[in-house]
Amino acid sequence: MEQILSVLISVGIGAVLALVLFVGFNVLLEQAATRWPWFVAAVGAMVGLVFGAIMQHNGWFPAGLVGILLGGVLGLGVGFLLGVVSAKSLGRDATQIAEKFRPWVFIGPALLFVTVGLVGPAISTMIISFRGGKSGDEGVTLDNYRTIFTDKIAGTNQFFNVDNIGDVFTSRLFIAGLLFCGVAGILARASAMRFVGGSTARTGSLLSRLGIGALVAVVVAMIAGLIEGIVREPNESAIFDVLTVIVSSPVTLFIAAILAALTLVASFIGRRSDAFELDWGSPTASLLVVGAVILLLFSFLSTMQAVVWNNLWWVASVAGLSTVFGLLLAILADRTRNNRVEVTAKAMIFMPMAISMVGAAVIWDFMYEKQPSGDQTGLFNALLQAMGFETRGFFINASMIPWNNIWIMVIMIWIQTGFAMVILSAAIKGVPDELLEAARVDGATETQMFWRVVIPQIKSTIVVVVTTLVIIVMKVFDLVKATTGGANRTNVLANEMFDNLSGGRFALSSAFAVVIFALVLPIMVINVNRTRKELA
Amino acid sequence: MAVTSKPESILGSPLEPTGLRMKRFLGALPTWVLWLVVVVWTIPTLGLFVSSFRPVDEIQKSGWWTALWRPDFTLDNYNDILFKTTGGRDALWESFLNSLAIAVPATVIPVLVAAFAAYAFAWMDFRFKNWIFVGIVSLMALPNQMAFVPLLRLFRDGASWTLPLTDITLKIIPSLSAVQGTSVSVWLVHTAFGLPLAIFLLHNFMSTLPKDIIEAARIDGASHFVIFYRLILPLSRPALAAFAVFQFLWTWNDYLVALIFLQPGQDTPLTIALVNLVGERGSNFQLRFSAAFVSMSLPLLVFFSLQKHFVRGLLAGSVKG
Repeated sequence: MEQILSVLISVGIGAVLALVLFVGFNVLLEQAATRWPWFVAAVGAMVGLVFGAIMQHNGWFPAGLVGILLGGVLGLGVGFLLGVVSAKSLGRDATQIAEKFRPWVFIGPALLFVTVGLVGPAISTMIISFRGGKSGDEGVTLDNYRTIFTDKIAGTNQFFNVDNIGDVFTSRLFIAGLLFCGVAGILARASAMRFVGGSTARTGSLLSRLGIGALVAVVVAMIAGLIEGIVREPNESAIFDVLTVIVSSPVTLFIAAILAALTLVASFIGRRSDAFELDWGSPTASLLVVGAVILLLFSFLSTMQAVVWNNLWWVASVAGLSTVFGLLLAILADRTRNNRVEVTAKAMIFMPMAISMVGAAVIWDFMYEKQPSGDQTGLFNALLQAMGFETRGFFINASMIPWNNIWIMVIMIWIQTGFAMVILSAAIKGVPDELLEAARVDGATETQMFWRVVIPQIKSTIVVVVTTLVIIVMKVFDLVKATTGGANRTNVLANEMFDNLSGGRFALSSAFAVVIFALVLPIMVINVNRTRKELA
Repeated sequence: MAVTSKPESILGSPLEPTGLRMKRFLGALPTWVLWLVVVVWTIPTLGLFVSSFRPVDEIQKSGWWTALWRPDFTLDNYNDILFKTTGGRDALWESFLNSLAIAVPATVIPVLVAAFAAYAFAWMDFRFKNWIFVGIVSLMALPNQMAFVPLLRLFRDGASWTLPLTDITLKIIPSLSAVQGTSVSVWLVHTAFGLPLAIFLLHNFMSTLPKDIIEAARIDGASHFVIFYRLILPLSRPALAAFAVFQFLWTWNDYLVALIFLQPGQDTPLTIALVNLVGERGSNFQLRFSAAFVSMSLPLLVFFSLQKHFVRGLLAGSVKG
């Protein structure tokens, strides 16, 4: 209690002092026109006080208050002299000069905090990251970055590993991604034909139906196999084995590769002439393309299994899935006819935003709880038990690698979906009614209106949501620290940064910070450009 | 209501009864799906909440959902975690106060400092104004990690500057050893980290205030300072509240900054206390639920009572133009 009081009192005193200084400065500025020399003297005294403080600290002035006051008096004298000398030549311009000071009085405190607390340290971090020695006080070197990107400990580099890139191309996710690409291409072609009309339209729709028919089965098998791959413990007999054999056989890989290649070629031809057009704006095609990109990214990032790749995996899945879920929920909420239902539902989905990451980690740790024997107390394992599956330690067990990462990301998606939903929902409500009415009059269906009117209208908001999420997720720390602590290949950059910091390896820690910074730099540039455009 | 077809037209059309029922069912479908999502989204928190009131052996033996039909609740967990100091662990109410001592100043100071600056950026003219503003806004995306190492050193050693071309090293900022490791250092750091967003939000709001009022006041001879605290500050109350709610939740829920800048065992806030408790594993398993709920209680209260401001801050912060 005492401690709280003392903190609050010191805050109060500090705030009052700052306000007195601020108000005092403003009063002083009012006086500048009539009492110019005294104004300059007061400014001089303030500069002098700071000067005196530095001087006494370095032992050039008498120590303590005497030294500070000495500086103040010196500044006062010099300021007064300058003021008297300049008063005559300035004449009436004095007021204007004083007014020029005022903006700096207003932004002064903020500038001080930002330079001392953010800009200065950021530059300093960059410098330290290029220096040798444990705490970064030796000569210039690239050793820290070498450690991150090339050094091998026990045969592998745990931060930035590209050794197992070959496994990517045979992974089930990769094949699924290729298949998605292929189907998307066929559908995009069909949709383009439908717009051209005539006999080609019939061929187009027939082609697309054939394509869908043939590939839906494979895709379903893929998804089943994927789910099964996540759910199954190794060495456990597989339920979907028949399906997964189809999917991971070289023949499927071959078909998928051909389909994807055809699509790629087609889109190149399409760009050159109008003869072979692809309509990527069609809903199914664009959904499949999104799915394909997500699958290809996942196949790559889940196979690489190193800290930098993990971070990118986090960004891809959390930023991507939260935005998609958020958009879906925003549409759902918009379609409910009852306003109070909408408000309540949105508040409940949004609620995890108010909970700390640490709290969320405790909540979900309990959801994933695994009892060694008897009834399961964690909801997920209880469900698995009830359905007859074997229970598992979702992010604790090494056998879950690399999918243990996914179960931690789920927590972040649970938190951030609400954020995406609230912002996208506001954007959807902002789409002008006349636009929708016009589309309706033109005979557009609900789906067409959504894909060709609403989505283009809220595109900039989607970009904002994604970039904000990328910035947030790139520095994910609390969740990983509070769940696995980075064990079993779940480590991320911010956690490495922290571990090296608390281990006293400041130089290496700074290098990790710079890597995080480099990864968000593109987004910083986008933000700067947007702000500059808005100001202009 | 952007993409919906008009409900009246469906109900008013002369459809046969079965078709009408079907249409009605389909029309209500989004609502049902939404409720389903709400249930899924709430279950994790509900599980924690229910568990925090269950006796120790029950928690270990059966799932929390069984308590819904076999209620057996107790307040022991809250009593134990809040007021008992066992095994070198402090009572949690102290951590609650520590969190408050960090979050309140870390909210008040940036609001004050940013309000001055935002006014200058919105309504004053000075050199490099746009450059400085763009610079500050770009800092919103700067990862906090970039500042940790130098700031730690700043608190420990102070800052010195070697004069160019000489061997003379000047100490510019003395080492703040009195502050180092205490909650004061944490809220100073939070202030610096929160300022860019605060200035951005407040500037956006203040620049939408009607120009006429401010110019009228100028003509009446009011100085910038008078305009600021008589006119702008009261008018900007919604934006100030929006940022304050935002920053309060952020600093209350923060774990990383506190972990880095606090001396272990000193001024421990709730987040660190909670992680330490989870790290103990085993003997006091039941306490983590009540502890987690204590740490969530104030943010949830703030969230549900001031949700309007929170959402407004969020929208202003990200949706622009």
